[in-house]
This record gives sequence, structure tokens and C-alpha cells, in this order.
Amino acid sequence: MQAIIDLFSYTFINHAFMAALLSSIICGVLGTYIVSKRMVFISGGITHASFGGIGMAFYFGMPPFLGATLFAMISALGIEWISKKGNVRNDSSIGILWSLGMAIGIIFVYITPGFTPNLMSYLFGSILTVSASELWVMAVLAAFVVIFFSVFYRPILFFAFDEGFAKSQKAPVNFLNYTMILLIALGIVMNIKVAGIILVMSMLTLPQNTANLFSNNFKRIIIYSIVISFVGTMAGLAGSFWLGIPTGAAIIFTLSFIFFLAKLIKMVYERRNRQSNEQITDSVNG
Amino acid sequence: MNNPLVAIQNLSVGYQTQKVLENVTFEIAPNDFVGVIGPNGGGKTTLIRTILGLIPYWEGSIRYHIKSSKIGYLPQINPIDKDFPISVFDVVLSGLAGKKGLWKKFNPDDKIYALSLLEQAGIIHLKNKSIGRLSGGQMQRALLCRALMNQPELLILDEPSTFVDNQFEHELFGWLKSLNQNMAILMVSHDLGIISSHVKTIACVNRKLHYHQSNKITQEQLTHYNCPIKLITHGEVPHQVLAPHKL
Repeated sequence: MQAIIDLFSYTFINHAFMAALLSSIICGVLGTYIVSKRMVFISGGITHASFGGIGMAFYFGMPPFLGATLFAMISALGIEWISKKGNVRNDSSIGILWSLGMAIGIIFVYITPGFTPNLMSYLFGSILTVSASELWVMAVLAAFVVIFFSVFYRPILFFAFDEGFAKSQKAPVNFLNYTMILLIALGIVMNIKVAGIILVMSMLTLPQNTANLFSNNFKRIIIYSIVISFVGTMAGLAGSFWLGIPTGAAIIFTLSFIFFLAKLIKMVYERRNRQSNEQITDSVNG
Repeated sequence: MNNPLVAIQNLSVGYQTQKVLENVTFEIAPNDFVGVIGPNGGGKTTLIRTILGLIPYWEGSIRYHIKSSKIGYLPQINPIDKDFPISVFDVVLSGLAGKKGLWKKFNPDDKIYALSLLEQAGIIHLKNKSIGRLSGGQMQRALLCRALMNQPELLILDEPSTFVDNQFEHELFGWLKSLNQNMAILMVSHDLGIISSHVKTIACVNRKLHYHQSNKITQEQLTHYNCPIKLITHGEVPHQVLAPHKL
């Protein structure tokens, strides 16, 4: 116990703890929307496209996360616009954006004179180096996302469930869709620091799918996801500490482990239920 | 003669370069019960999606003498995402999505009305279930409740009797008949047997639209309008007469 208390005397551990909490809230809320609306691939496209922005920012000497934010938002709006038109192969355009963003990023990092930035930290995240100012930005976004979902809970749920019906009722579907995709883009960029480009998708899908095993209620999936995400992130951090492995990968591994464990428990539980039900039916019939 | 609720004139609709509907002129009168029939790919669903404003049209005009928030819509249930985490009660409530927009709150009266619709549909006991757990017939009922939530003056139904058992089909048309006293109904169905015995008028859609002021369909009409579907006649005992085979 003392060892754990001692750990929190380090600033970077405190920061990591706060980052885990905030990113669990952001990803728990946005990820539930993404998973429910089957936008995982779209989010992957936005995430990877933002790497182009990171590379260009390095080249032009700007803060990398400014570049990432710009690229993420532009690609998010582009994807939403393309899917609204609906007559282009949607998944192909996302695939193109995905790889083009990565290519632009690599090219610009390569031609940037002088030092080579630590690409690994952008690809796999570095929760232990989150700064106080980054935490503030995450806190503002987390608060905004929670308030936004509380105020617009019903329209968000209703429009996501059946867009065509909502449009037939002349509901402001496009406006909300654009707002949501921008929010998703911001959420992704904020979490690149914690989980990295390659792993941020897991933060947006693994806790939600784990939660979905136990609930089919949108609100509850959000809450369960936040808890699972936070517990998994902290456990992953601890594991990475003691085993000396990279934090991002350890977190994702833990979240995956929780998912498969939950799935296993559910399968065993359901099988046992079915068997006991059969026994009841047998004894009634017999 | 009352004003029509919706007046369509010389309407042409298509996707990309392919024209699906051509030169359609058609009016929906108050309290009409129109059965929309026609072959698959003939443009039935395109027609109603255009009326609902979901598809832009190429030529012609649609004039509405009815608020868009007074049109109820029951889409085909196939594209509904059965995994989406939403309860039956919330699905019904979402019928007010347009009326409430982003800012307006749902008040207790809305919720009471949603529950009364679920009661009428006989699925009140399923209100907290997630939508994907429902059988086809139960889901049709839930979606019909959603369509009725805004107390429509025009109810548009796309294949309401698919995935439905005979028992519910009977109940459904009983329900629609009583609803028809307060609203016009436009119903798409590929099942001519159902249409002919319940609707007042028939629109046959096969790229063009032909409107009949009665619910009786004759062989000549079908041949003339190139509507290759089963023929129904009325008699003491319900029976079907199939169109002759092509030689």
C-alpha cells in the first residue's frame, strides 16, 4: 500500500492518473456513440489522417497537436460530407484518407531538417509525459462532452438510431452529425497523447463492447465503459511499470484481456442458465 | 372537393444517371387509403422517400398542404440496426424527433401518449426491451407506434406486413381502418391480396404511376400498365386468381 501512495508523490504519476480518468470519460462517451452507430472505421480514418497533421506541424515548426487537430477536423468534415452524398463508396474513401494521412506524416517528418521526433510516442502514446496544460485541455473537452451528451441525449440517441426516420421528420440531423464528428475528431486528437494513433481506436471500442456484453442501454454502456476504461488503463499502467513494457500497449492489452474475460464469463453464465432452464422444463414435462 | 394533402406534378426522380420515376402526377386526398403496388424495383419506395423529402427530385413539383411534422412514417424494418442499444419505449418516443428538434424537452404528456400507443399495439409489456430483441411483428408494431407519435394527418407505410403473422396482419388492418377515419394513409406493399381488400384506391408504380379510384384491379389494367403481379378478385370466400402464364 505504502508503495502505491509513494508512487503518487511523483508528478508524472499524478498526471497519468488524471489523464487516464479524463480520457476514460471522453472515450467512454464518444466511443459508445461510435460503436452504436458503427463508425469505428470512420474514426480509424480520422485518427490516422491526423498523423499527416503531426508531420506537417513538425516541418513548419508548429505545435504537433495543432496540426493533428486541423487534419482530424478537416478529414472528419470530409468524411461526413462524402457519406451524406452517399453515392461514393464510403469505406474506400476512408481507406484512402487513412493511408494518405500516414504517408503525408512520414514524408514531412522525413524532410524536416535536424532532429527526428520520437515517432513512437505519437504512434503508441505516452501517458507518462502528459503535461499540465494538456490535462487542462482534456478536462475542458471532457466537461464539454459530458454536458453536450446530457443536454442533447435524446436527439443524439434518436438520430443515431434511425437517421432516415429523423430526416423524414425534418429533424436537424445533418447539423448534429457534423457537430458529433467534430467532437469525435477532437476526442481522438486529445487521446493520441495517451494511447497513440495506433491504439486510440481500442480506447473507443474495447470498453464499449465489454460494457455492451452486460447492458443494452445507451446510458449504462457509457457509464460502464468509463469505469472499465479507467480500471483497465490504471491496471495497464501498473503492469507496464512492473514489467517494464510500453504504457500504451500495456493499456490496450489489459483492455483486450478484460473484454475476452468478460465474454468468457458471459458465455459460461449463459450456458449454465440455459442448462438450468432445460432442467426446469424437463422436470415440468417429466 | 377538399384540397389534397400532397400534390405531385410531373415528378421525375432518379439516382445518379438512372431515372426511376418518370412524369408522376398524383394527389393524396384527405382520408384516402392508397395502396401502392408494383413490381420490385418499380419505384414504390423511391416514391414515398421522395414525398418524405429524403431524396431530391429532378423535375416537377411536390406541394404540401400539410406540415412535415404531421406526416407519420413507417420505414421497411430491414435496414433497422437490431444491435443498436435503444429501448422500445425510446424508439416510440423518437417519433417526436422532428417536433422536438434539439432543444425542446419531452414532457410527461409525451411519455403517457407513447405508453398509450404501446398499450393499443399490445406490446406495452415490451417497453423496456431493446429493439433488437423483438420479433418481426413486434418490431412492426413498435415502429407503427413511432409513426403515430406525432398524431399524423398522413401516414406513410412501407411494407408494414412483412415479417408479420396472420393474426397480427388482421389486427394491423383493423387498426389502420380506424386510423383512416382521422388521417390519410399511403401504404406500399408487394402483397396485392392485402392491398385490394383493405384500401380505398390503388396506385400502380412501375416507373410511371397509374392511379385507380377504386380498389378493384382488373386484368386489363395490369396488362396495360405492365404490373406483373398476382390478381385478386372479390367473392364470398376470399380467393386469389393468378395472372395467366406467359407463353
